[in-house]
Amino acid sequence: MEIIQSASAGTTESSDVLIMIDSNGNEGIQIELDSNVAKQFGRQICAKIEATLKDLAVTQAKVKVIDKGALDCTIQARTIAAVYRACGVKEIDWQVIRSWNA
Amino acid sequence: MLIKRLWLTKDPIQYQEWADLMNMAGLALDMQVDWTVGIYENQQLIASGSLDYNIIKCIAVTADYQSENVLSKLLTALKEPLRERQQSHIFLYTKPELRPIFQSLGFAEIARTQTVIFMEQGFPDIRAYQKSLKAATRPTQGNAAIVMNANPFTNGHLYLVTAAAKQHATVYVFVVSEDRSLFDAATRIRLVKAGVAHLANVVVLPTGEYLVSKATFPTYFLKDQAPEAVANVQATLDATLFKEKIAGICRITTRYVGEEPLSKVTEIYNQALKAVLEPELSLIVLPRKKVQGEVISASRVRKLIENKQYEALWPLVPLTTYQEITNQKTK
Repeated sequence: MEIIQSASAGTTESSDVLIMIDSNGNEGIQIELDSNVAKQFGRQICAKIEATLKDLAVTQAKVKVIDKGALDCTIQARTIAAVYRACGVKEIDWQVIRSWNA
Repeated sequence: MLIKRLWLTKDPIQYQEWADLMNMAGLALDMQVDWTVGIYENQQLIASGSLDYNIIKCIAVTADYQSENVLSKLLTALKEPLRERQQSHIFLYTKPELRPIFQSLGFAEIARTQTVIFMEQGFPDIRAYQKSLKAATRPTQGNAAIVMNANPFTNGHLYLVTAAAKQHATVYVFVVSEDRSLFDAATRIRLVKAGVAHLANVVVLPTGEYLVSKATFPTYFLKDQAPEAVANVQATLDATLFKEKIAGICRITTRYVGEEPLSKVTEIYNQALKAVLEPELSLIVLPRKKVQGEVISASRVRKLIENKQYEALWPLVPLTTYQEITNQKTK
């Protein structure tokens, strides 16, 4: 999918994550993470987002992440929602997640 | 805990509760807002925040409930109307001492003065704007900058640009991107480009959301309806942003402005620029160009257009602007 506008998903409440996403020219995926547990889980959080972007076939994106201790499933869901919004897609196909896990 | 929208202009009781909360927080009763959210606990208003389109302001939480994640709930509630407005890039004004709290909620500082800090969240951010400026800069030193609304571009603007172009290697003309004027932003920037096309060392750029925008300087667009103190705070912030985030990228040493005998807000802006820019940068205030004993101003041009006195426009605007006006007339 191609990002056509900036968008965000999620909140900064405890156990949630705020994902902001924008197009990034041809500079690939850039993730900027802000988290209280960046030391412990920073790499895992970024890996989860990168994997989700890959599953959604997003190759160019600037991503800013404000994490408040979100679990992987939350990170994935917020990333998907942000990408769909940034791509201007209204109908989200949540079932597609199942095929990734298969 | 109950979160609901407050109707300040329609519900006097809610207004009073809100006003009490603002007073307690030491905030001005800023009514230039279009959406207000309140959080109640035991029928007491314990927190509130407001929007002015995509700017978050008037945020207050009572002392008893600070550090209880109430602020985060408040921001989440304010995000809903922002999403409906399709605004993913949002601005926030707050007190400088609250910077760490809002930073942890995902806001980044753009500029600050002694009394106020201006932050943003989302894209395209100030770094993207700086990048776009960098791409457009020329490798010269000691450049000049002029910021104008150019609504529309007049011989007065041209005079200012020409004067600066004689003294400096490159002149950057920033045209206000905000669409709140008679001529839309695209037309204004096109007319400026056409009007300065004969000057090789002039570069025309958009201000984006960072110079004299409704985010940095809302009272500019209200003209003389706004209280002077508020205009001064915003003007100081706008000048600081220019000095710290923009001037360096374009290697600007001098800012030019036209003398302002007519508009109070613009006069306040000129004074704030002087106070903030000097001594590191210089500010040059040029007297307005006169035709037949009267200063040329865009407002005078607009008045003539309104009264359909097209002949009288001839000495006031460049040919390219004149053609645009007559073209629009025939449409």
